[in-house]
Amino acid sequence: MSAPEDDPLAELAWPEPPAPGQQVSDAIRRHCTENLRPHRGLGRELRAGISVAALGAVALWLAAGMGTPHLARAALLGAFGWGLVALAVLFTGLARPPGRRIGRERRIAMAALLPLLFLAYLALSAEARLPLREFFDGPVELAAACALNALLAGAAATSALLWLWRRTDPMSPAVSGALIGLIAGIAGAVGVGAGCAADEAWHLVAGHGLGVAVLALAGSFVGRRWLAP
Amino acid sequence: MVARSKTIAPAKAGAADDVEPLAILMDRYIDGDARAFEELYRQVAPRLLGYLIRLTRDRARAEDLLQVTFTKVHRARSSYLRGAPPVPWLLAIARRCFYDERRSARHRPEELSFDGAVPEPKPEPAAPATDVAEALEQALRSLPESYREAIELTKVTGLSIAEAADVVGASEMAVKLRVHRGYKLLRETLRRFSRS
Repeated sequence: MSAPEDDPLAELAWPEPPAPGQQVSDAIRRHCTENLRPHRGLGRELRAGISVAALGAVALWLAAGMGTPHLARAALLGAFGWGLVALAVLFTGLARPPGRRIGRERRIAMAALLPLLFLAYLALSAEARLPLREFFDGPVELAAACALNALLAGAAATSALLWLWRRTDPMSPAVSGALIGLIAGIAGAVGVGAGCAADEAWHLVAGHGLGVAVLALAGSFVGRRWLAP
Repeated sequence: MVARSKTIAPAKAGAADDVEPLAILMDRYIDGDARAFEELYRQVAPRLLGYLIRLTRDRARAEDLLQVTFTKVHRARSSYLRGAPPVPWLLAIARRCFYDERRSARHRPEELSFDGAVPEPKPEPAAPATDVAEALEQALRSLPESYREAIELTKVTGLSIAEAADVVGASEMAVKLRVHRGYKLLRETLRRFSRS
């Protein structure tokens, strides 16, 4: 609670906050205190715990359902690393109460840059790189199936998390929504990646990674409505 | 929404030491303590109303929005993440109410006069200020909305720059700049007043 340090107008008598009219106050008091009962919602720890469980469930369900498990050490390490990134985003950008979180600029940077970093990681970690035309001439359906799986599972996780955190953030609901879309998208992409044996750059970027950016964008639009009280 | 009448005693911004912290009052209110709500209301309502008046420039509209704000707060109290600073949390809800209302007002049909024009109320010319407080009030009213809001939040409501940035959804640097530029304009206006 402070004003700027070199306050040139410190000596001024700033206007006192006005009091609401008696009838307005009575109406508000009546509305807010009649039949007032304990109305405890989920604590933020519980919300964060359920979020982690939901994200893990989506990733494991996808990995198990995709068919061929991809047990290469590098892929597992990558999945583990991005799982940690998603947890860090969840706990620093979302699970702390609004007003006590990391700065708004950093949260926006996370929401904007992490999807790009994820796409770059997928492109660089691929073992095969085909020219774009050859990719389109090849089995595009496989990439489309992966993209659909990652997107649908990620959308389900995004919806679940938006519902879980609904009405918790009047300050920056769009940024929080984008972060929810981001971590749900990462869970979907990691799940699909763990169950898909394809190792070509375009396939990974379009089939596994694009959903992350799409869900972060969608999360910011839906979060604007759902996360604000 | 509700008729307005006499006023109740305002609580000073910047609570006294013997006043229970707002975060504890908020927790007790969520736990179903009506007296905690009474005390919370007594402490924050004037600040919210002052902020809404500054946004709307209309006391009646501001009081309506105050009721909408508390209705939302009441409905969302189970979603309040304990530990969040209550005043910025409440101000952010109030601000959202204002912008939602303004957006819906834009889509409301206006009655046209016979010549097909929307009847615009003519702004009343402000009478020259006679004391510093009045001059300050007029100077504040003449500021651009974003400057006025930044000064209202930091100077009148008593939020820190970081808290004000959270409420308005801007960076701390942007809020600092708005306060700085607003101060500059205020200073010029008040200098003119003191010369006259």
